[in-house]
Amino acid sequence: MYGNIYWFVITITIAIIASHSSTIFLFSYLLAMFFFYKQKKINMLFLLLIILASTIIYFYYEYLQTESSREIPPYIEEINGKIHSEVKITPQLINFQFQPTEINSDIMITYFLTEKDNLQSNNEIKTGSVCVLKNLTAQNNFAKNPGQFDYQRYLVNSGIKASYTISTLENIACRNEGKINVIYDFKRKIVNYVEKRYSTYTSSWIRALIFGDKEGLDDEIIALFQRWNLSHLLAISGLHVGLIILMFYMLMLRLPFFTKEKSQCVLFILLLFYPLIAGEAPSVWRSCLLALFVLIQLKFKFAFSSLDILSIVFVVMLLVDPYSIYQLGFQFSFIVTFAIILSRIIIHEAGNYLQIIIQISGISLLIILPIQLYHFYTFNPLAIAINLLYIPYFSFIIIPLSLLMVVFSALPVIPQLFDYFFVKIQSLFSTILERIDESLYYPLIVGKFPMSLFFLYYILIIVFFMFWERQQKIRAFCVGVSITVLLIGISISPYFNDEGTITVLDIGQGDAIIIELPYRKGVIMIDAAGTMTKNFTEPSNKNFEEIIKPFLLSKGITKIDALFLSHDDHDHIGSVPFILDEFIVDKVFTTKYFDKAWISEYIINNKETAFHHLTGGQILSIAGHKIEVLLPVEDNFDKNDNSLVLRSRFGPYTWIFTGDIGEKAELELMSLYPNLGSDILKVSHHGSSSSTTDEFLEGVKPKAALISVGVNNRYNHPNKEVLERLGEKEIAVLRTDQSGAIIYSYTKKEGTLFTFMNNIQNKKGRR
Amino acid sequence: MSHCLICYERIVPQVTWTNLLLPVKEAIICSECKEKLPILAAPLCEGCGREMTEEGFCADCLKWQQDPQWKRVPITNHSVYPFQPFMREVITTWKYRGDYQLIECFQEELLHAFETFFYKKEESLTLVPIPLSNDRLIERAFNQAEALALLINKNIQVEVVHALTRKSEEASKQSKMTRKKRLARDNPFTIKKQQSKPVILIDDIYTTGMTIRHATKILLESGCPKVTSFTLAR
Repeated sequence: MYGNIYWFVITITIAIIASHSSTIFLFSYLLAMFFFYKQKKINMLFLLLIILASTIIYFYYEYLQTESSREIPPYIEEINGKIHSEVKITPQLINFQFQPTEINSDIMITYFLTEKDNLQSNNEIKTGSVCVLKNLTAQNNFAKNPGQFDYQRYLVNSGIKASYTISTLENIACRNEGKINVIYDFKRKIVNYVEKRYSTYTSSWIRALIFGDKEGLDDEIIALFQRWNLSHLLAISGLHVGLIILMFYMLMLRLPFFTKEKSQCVLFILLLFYPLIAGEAPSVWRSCLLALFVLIQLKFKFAFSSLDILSIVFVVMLLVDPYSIYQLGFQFSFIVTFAIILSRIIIHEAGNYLQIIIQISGISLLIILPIQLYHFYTFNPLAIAINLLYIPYFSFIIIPLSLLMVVFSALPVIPQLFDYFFVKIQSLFSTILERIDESLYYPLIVGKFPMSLFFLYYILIIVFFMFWERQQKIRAFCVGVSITVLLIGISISPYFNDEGTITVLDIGQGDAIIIELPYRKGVIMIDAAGTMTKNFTEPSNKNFEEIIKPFLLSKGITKIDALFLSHDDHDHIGSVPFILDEFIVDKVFTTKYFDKAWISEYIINNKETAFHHLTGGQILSIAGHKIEVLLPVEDNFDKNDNSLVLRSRFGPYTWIFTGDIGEKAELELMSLYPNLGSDILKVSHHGSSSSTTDEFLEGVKPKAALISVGVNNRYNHPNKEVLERLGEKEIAVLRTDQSGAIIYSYTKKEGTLFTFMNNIQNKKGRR
Repeated sequence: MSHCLICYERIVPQVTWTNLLLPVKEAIICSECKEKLPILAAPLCEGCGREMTEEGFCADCLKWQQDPQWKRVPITNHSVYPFQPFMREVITTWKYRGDYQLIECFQEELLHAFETFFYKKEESLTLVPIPLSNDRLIERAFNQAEALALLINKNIQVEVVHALTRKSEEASKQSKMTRKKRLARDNPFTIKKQQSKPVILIDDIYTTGMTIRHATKILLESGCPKVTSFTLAR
């Protein structure tokens, strides 16, 4: 059994994968194990244990899936239970996990603080408190577009069934029981003290690096670290825990009365409680438990290999929280650690420190690549070079310094000195990284890594490392080439696909339509809605960052051949500056009524983009695809009525895109173009009553009408009468507010409309 | 949990990419001891099988080939391990202190070397272990050469034949004799079974090659067409 414990990690992983996809995986695995048994590579007991473990895991995860796919009530009047996590209190909100008495999975509770709220009177909201909550409203967090981050799944994967908000603080009535909150109170006290002693800048870094709370860090810095694969430095992991252990151990040995044994005992206790203080991320638990087992091993002289210990930690963490395997942090943390342990011989061959760091960074990048591409669609090859600089910088300066600053925060003068030095050096390094980011950020946009190729990739990568380890360089090189071919294949696969798609993104109240021509001959976009910040004072990049950009990247799109802007309302063009900034846009088409000020603003940073005005009657060819411009022909003296109206054939069906035109422009269309007939109508103006008249529908005779509209929007779009008109004519209506993005996929002969959410619901419970 | 056969330390199995997808075999000796037992690396002398800087025969073998008494007895010896101090210790424990099980720690390399040197080269292989005299056999309780031959026989399709016997009038033990004495000695072997097929002599240590030469000589004289030899160490 010794040395073979990692087989349980393989067994568990395969059983979980099988429970999500197909039992074939499990069967073929067990068959292989039986074969090993027949060959006398493993004994009967081991085989039986593996069969037992895989069966239990398989059925248990099946059960978890049926549990999590059960409907959640949209409104709960009253619920009893216990606060089950650390209570996060920021100036904006209170947030905690709640364990209801009658349900066995947690729910997330959020309360948005208002200025009147006085937390002092209500400070029984603590971990372990028994509470009665009233008037809970469920939050809908499902991803509604392809490529979009699915917060609901993220919650479910964290073992949280649903997320609810509470309207007033009076609806939370808590009574403190239990002792566990002591540790969180302790943490809050230290953090508050640290915040008092150091500048905001420094304390935000200390909070992130020592207490696992990234709340204080600038979002831009977090994004910057993510772009350069440095997030592992921000997530408390083996590096941080190792340094902390080392410093405490050395400190204790210098103190009187501390023998080696006593110091180890203190470390043991420290390691047990540190994860609770450090935000309980999977990487913190992993590294602390690993260190704990190593201490136990030293004490009792077991002979487990590091692989064995890591495998035991893996099993223990899954036993405690079976959902943890779904968390990205857990996956990254374990996969990278396993890979580094298995690469012992490869790393041993490396001569100096520089080579070791290059190899470790390279191995980590390769081993997480499919997962990274599955979630983020891009990777940054130059990140290895930046890691060479930042890993030593964080390991030798920033993390030890942060720790020292916590330890010595009570001393006079010294904190100020530390603070001064920290701000200087950290802002210098941040500036360096920003400069590098501006000039050297060339990510490879591969697109979403298909689930079906994970298995192939990991087989190739194991073979690759195997040859590398045996110093069979030519063979390793050949496998390396096939891995590269696989990645290139994924990124160029759209160019071999005879299927085109049109996606009407669910972007809230607004329009954003993306057309991918067959064989990726071209990408055309019609409108790009923006949003405003919460108080409607300034434009926000939320739509772009959360919906448009992930969609384009997930498809591996970096270039847009043509961007049509129907008219200059924010709900049609708000995301345009961001798109021009981050993607290559060949041509932008507008009408001559489009605000010139906008165009001149767009031009400033986009010299290579061509801007054109269109008028009705023109016929364009974009990457060989014909598009008719129908309107505007003459000035209608109204922004909406001057919208660009386009018509084009995609496969067997003709689409008409109407922008925000009203009744007047509709009548104009009908008089100018007697043969207006189109199969699919993008309903004008989000279904407003001012358009989509009976006459217009008679003229267009659509089979399907698509409405791009926000949930519960303040204009009450789509209008009831418009829906009735569409209903009377038996036109199929698809609405983004109800079903998420609307997707049309077509070939020369066929075209199918479907919606993102229905498509997802069909696959419910599958990953 | 297994312990190293040589140093009795616990063996912590090492899993790397190469053996990741195969269940770990229980190791017999630990990696430190394994490192201290290197195998002979090519180029090797075509005569006695010692390590050389280039291919061909070593000076010693060339000298033997000039010797009028021995030039008709060409030897082709293959060995697995160099006979260095650590190897001497291990062999001493195995051979003289009767730790019979220690043979297992040579098994993997022994079989591997045997296969590379002899497998498929000749159609049928006959192994002839160098015998011990009766006194010596009683003293040591087992014949180490025979043990090696049987180990090969157990894993590879070969025949083991006790074709030789050893005269027991030798008063002093062979390994305690000086080179000169040993070279001058009469042939200690006699034929028990005549061999008409090529044979491979099996012994534990090749020191001067005198034992192998005597056995080769007597086998060739009795009509055996070809004699090669395979020893654990040299």
